[in-house]
Order: sequence, then C-alpha cells, then structure tokens
Amino acid sequence: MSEILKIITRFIHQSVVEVGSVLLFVFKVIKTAATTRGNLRPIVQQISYVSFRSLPTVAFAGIFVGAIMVLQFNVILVQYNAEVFLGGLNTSAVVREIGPLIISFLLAGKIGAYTAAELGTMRVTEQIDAIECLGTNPIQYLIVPRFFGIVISSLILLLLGVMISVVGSMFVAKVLCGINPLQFLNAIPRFTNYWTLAGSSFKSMVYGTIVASVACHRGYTASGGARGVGKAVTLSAVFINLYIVIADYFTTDIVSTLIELGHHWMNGGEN
Amino acid sequence: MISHWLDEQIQTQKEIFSLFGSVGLRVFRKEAWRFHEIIEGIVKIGIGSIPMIAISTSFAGLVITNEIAWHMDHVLHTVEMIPGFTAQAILRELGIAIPALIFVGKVGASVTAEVGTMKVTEQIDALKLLGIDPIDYLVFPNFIASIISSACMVLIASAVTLTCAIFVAVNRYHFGIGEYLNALKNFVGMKDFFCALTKGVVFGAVIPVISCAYGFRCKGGAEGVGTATTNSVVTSTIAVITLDFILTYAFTSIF
Amino acid sequence: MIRFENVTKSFGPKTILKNVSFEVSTGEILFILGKSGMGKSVTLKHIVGVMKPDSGKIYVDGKDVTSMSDLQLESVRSTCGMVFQHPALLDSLNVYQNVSFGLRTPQFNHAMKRTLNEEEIKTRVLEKLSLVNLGPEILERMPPEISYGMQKRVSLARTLAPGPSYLLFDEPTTGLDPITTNAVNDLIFELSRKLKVTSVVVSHDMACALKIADRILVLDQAGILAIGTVSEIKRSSEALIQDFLSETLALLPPEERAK
Repeated sequence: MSEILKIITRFIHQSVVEVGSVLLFVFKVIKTAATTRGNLRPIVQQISYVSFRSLPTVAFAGIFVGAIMVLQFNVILVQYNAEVFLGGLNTSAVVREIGPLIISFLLAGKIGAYTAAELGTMRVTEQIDAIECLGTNPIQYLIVPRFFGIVISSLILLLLGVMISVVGSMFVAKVLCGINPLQFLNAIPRFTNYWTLAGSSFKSMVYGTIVASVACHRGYTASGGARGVGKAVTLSAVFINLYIVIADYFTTDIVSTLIELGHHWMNGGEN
Repeated sequence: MISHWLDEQIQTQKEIFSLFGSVGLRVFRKEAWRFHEIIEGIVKIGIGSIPMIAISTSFAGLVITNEIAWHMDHVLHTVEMIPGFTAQAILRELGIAIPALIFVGKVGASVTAEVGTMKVTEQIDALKLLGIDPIDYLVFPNFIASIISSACMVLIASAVTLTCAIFVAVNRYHFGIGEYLNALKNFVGMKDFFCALTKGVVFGAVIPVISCAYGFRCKGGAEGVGTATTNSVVTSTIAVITLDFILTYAFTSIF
Repeated sequence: MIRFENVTKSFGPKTILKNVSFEVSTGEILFILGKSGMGKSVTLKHIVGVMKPDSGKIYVDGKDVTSMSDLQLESVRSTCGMVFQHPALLDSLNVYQNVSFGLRTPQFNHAMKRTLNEEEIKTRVLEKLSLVNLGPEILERMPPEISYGMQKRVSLARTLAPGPSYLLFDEPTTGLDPITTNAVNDLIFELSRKLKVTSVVVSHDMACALKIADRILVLDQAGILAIGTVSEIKRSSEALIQDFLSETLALLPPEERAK
C-alpha cells in the first residue's frame, strides 16, 4: 500500500515539476518576445514554413476524417430518420471538436516532433551554447520565431483544414451515402455560424500553444547525444497529446459558453 | 525538386511494404517467436501506454458527451437520445480512433527513436555481424507485442471512454445508469465488438512496421534520429486515418 | 583578468568543482588539464555564465559574473570568445553566415559604436578565415558539406571574428590532424603575444601544453591538483602529473626529451 502511495506521490511531484518548468519556459519566451525587437520577420518566415510543410498532411487527413465522420453519422442518423442533419452534424463536429483535435495531433507529429528534434540536436551539438557565446539570445533567435510560428500556423491550418474537410465530406456524402450536396450545405447553418468558427479558432490556438511550448521546451533542454534527442522527441510527442486531450475538456466548456453568449448578443438578447 | 521528393516517398513506401512482407512471413518461422522479447515488448508498449491512454480517453469521454448533448439540445431541443448516440459514437469510432492516435504518438515515436539510435550508433550493424537478424530481434517482437497491446488497448480505451461518458451523463444530464445499459443493449452488439477488435489489430500491426522502417532508414547522428521520428509519426497517423476510413467503409457496407 | 574564488559546483550528488580558486592574468595562456569528467569544460562554461556555481565568485575584468542578469552577461560574453569541443556551427547557415554571425549582434554594434556594412563584414570574415588557413572558396558551403577539421577551423574563425579579448578553448585540437593541430596551437600562441588575448585552453594534450602554455592547471577529483608554470609542473611530484608527463615524453623524439 505504501508502495502505491509512493508511486502516486512521485507521479504528482513529477507532473508538477514538468508542468511548472514548461510554464516558466513559456513565460520567459513571451517576456523575451515582448522586450526585444525585430521578431516579426522571422516569425512570418516560420509561419509560412510551418503552414506549407503541414498543409498537404492536414488536407489529406481532413478529407479522410470528414469521410469517416460522414459514414459513422449516417449509420446513426438513419436509425432516427434524420439524414437531413448529416451535413450540419458533420460540419459542426469537424469545426467544434474533431478539426482542432486532429490538426493539433498532426501538428504535434509533424512540426512538434521536428522542432523538438531540431532544437535538441542544436543543444547536444553545442550550437545553442555557441549562439549564446556569440552574444545572441538563443531564446529570441531560436525559440520566439518557432513558438509564435507554430501557434499562428495552427490557426491558419485549422481554417484551411476545416474548409477542405467540409468540401471533402460533402463529396463523400454524395458518393457513398447519396446525400444531395445542396441538402448537405443547407443543414450547415443550423449548427454552425461565425461564433462556432471563432470558438474553434480559440481552441486551436490553445492546442497550438501546447504543441509549441512542450516541443520547444523539450528540445531546448535536451541532453545526452543522439539518445537524448530521441528521448526529447518521444516525450514531447507523448506529453503534447496528453495535454491536448486534457485541454480539450476545459476549452470545450469555455467555447460552448462563449458561443451561447455570442448568439445571445447577436440576437439582441431575444432568446 | 518535386520529383526528388516523390522518388524519396516511393522509396520509403517500398521499404515499408517490403518490411511488412518480411515481418509477415516470419509469423510462420518458429525461430522468430522470441517469447522473452515479445513479453518485454508488451510490458513496454502495452502496459507502459495504459496510464496515458486511460487519462486521455477519460477526458475524451467527458468531452464527447458534452458535445453530443450540446448538439442534441441545439437542434432537437431534447437530450433524450444521448445514451444511444454516445454509446454508438464511442464504441464504433471515437473510443478507437482517439486512443489509436495517441498510441501512434507514443509507440511510433519511441520505437523509431530506439531503432534509429541503434542504427546511427552502429548497433544494428553490430547485431548483423554477430549473426542476429535485426528483423527477428527488433521488428518481429515489437510487431507481435504491438498487435496484442493495441487490441487490448482498444477494449480498455472504449471501456474507459464509455464509463466517463456515463459518468457525465448521470451527473450532469441526470440519466439513470439503467437507461444507458438499455441503449447499449439496443444499439451495440457483437459486430461492433468485432469491428473494434479488427481495427485495433490492424492499427497495432501497421504502427511498429512503419516505425521500424523509418528507424532503419535513419542516418546522420542525432539530427537523423529526430527527422526519422517526425516522419514516422506523421506517416503512421496518416496510415491510421486512412485505414480507419477503409475499415469503416467496409464494415458499414457489410453489416 | 579572470579570477575564480572558492567556486563549488555539484551535479546531483556528484561534486565536480570543490573550492576552486585561481587567476588568469591578461595575455596569458592557461592550460587546464585533467582526466575526463573532472570539470574542465564546466570550468569554462562558468566563465561566460552559461553555468552558475553553487557557491563562490567568478570575476571577469573585475566584474562578478555569478550575480549578473542575462542582459549584463551579454556584455561579458561579447568580450569572451568560446571555441567548443564540437564545431557547433549552425546547420541552417552557410560558412559566411556562420562566421559573420557575431558581427551582426546588437552587443557587437554597441561595442563598435556603429554597424558594419556588408563590405567590412566580408573583409573581416575573409581575414579571420585566412588566419585558420581557409580560403574564400569555402564561403558558400554548408557545414555538413565540409570535413570535420574544416568545420572546427571555421568555428575558430567565427569565435575570432568579433575580436574577443578572452578566448576559451574546449579541446580545440581533438579530432584534428597533426598539421592543423600545430597550426591551431601556433595561432593561440600568436594571438596571445601579438594582440594580448588571454586564453584558457581545456585539453588532454600535455604535449601542446608544454609547448605553448604560460601556466598549467591540473584538475583532479573535485579540486585543483596543481597550478604553476610549465617548469614548475614538470618538477611536480604528483603521481598523476608524472603519468601525464611520461606518456607525453614517450611520444617525443629523444633529442626533445632531453630538454
């Protein structure tokens, strides 16, 4: 029994240390970004790099995930004779939940792991020390562009990915389930509007921040040769996914409330 | 540049498929079944992933119920259908796909990093010189261990997700547990169990092969390990999503 | 001038430096020798504040680096050049961009009181590259495309480019061929004599130390085993130093050994 207790306390201790050090790191990055100048250009470069690199993967996944949702929802909706809702339900699920989640998973795999590996390599081959000794702040030079590049790219990728996914789903619904594209499109506004999209953007920024901070932190603090880089990449992949799923729970509630408020405000408080 | 990239992709796919072939053939070779390594693999891949999967799918369960409730409320102005809808969504798709994607992140990354590190530190060459087949020694045990772990994981994850979904439904939307069990009886059957298990086995078979193929291709020190890991995680994710679509389509057409 | 006062540093339970005190005066070449894992590189990293000691003080030019903020440290770092064990060239930049990296920082501009134009930067880069026997044909190459020895020389040129008054070498000659090793040693010697550059060299190589060092510091299990001029070290009775010496002497030709 005391053994189990010991394991649990150690787990809690490690989690607190882990989360705390990531938060401190993020704080340092944001402070550096706020107090230094000339960050805009590198950030824009990173955004275009990250977005272009990830777009094919996001588009591919978007179409297939949309297709899976269409198939699954169709099976369920047929039971209730509610196929008219397919387009709305599918789009709403993609915009509100699946889109931000899958895109951040992909971002974690593609860009998060790459960033952790890149920074880890620079750390273990002393490149980061070299930058520091040449009188340049490595946080500003390396981390700030990557961090903000990933966060903003996640937003861009979300908007593009959702669009591609909806078009793909519409196509799949027509081909595999025989649903008229017009009917599909007509059902969309019943569930989603600009507020939904805004909520979804907020979610995706939160997940993007998780990807960026964990990957940069793990890579920046890597140690111990090729093995250390491998470890940094693996652990960042694991922790990013875990944090995202946990953050999903909290952001979903926040976003739902925000969307309700948005509706309320738009309708002049009628409903 | 694009043709170079394409060549590279085709080459990679070839290597993955040929590795898949040679691993598949080893199922029939007695000397490949190294039980000690397989058990070790199950402990590392399967049991090591359980806490991660349990925590993340429990949160997923909470989210799914909340989301479905919101949609029901918004459109039909009733939440009565939550049990049937969540049960089907979880047991057919979300209880399988979400843990599978997390499994990819964990297992794909760690297997590639491990094999890749062995490759760049010339340990794999050392194995060959000692007369040990690296596929027998590294890939096959991981392959079997991953299939077993993934199949079990799908079941565990679905159960955890469903439990948490029921927990929210009971506490927040005031359903009785009995209603849920009724819904489960009405909408979910042996065929769903079979589908889930098939998906689990397929994902479990694909992930370690892709990861090992990228690990074997790894070259050039620490940087190579990082790049290989990234590529392997992305390829595995795409493979899981694509296979999920194919299997879902197959099952919805058959049943 | 660099001064260590009772510096102690531990990693977990392992104490690497224990009450280390020594001084390096301007224009001097100090070699730090010792077996692996005795805190040689750690000592170097303390000077530029990349690592902080658990206790004790370190003064560079009379200023205490242990209590400085990151911002203040940047001004100290701009007077220190560090040559790493690995070439540590930035993979994403070519040789020219690597060598000119230190010439484009705000600290450097501040120290120069102006910004160098591209022409001046290029002249300076070529000048430093020629110091390490590299020509202009290498400028556009990327680090992975050139040999390890070349990478190390480019790395040295990069360190020299901003004109540091302190040079810190972490095993500068490891992995180099004997000819380049000699060239690097001559370069360290020349810089110290002509430009009054203070050099701290971490090394395993007793032969180099005997050849160019003004003073030698030998680190052992968590502390200083011996410090002194070359002839003082040669006369030392410590077993480890004698081992080092006899290993080195065995490699020298008989007529050199007699000296």
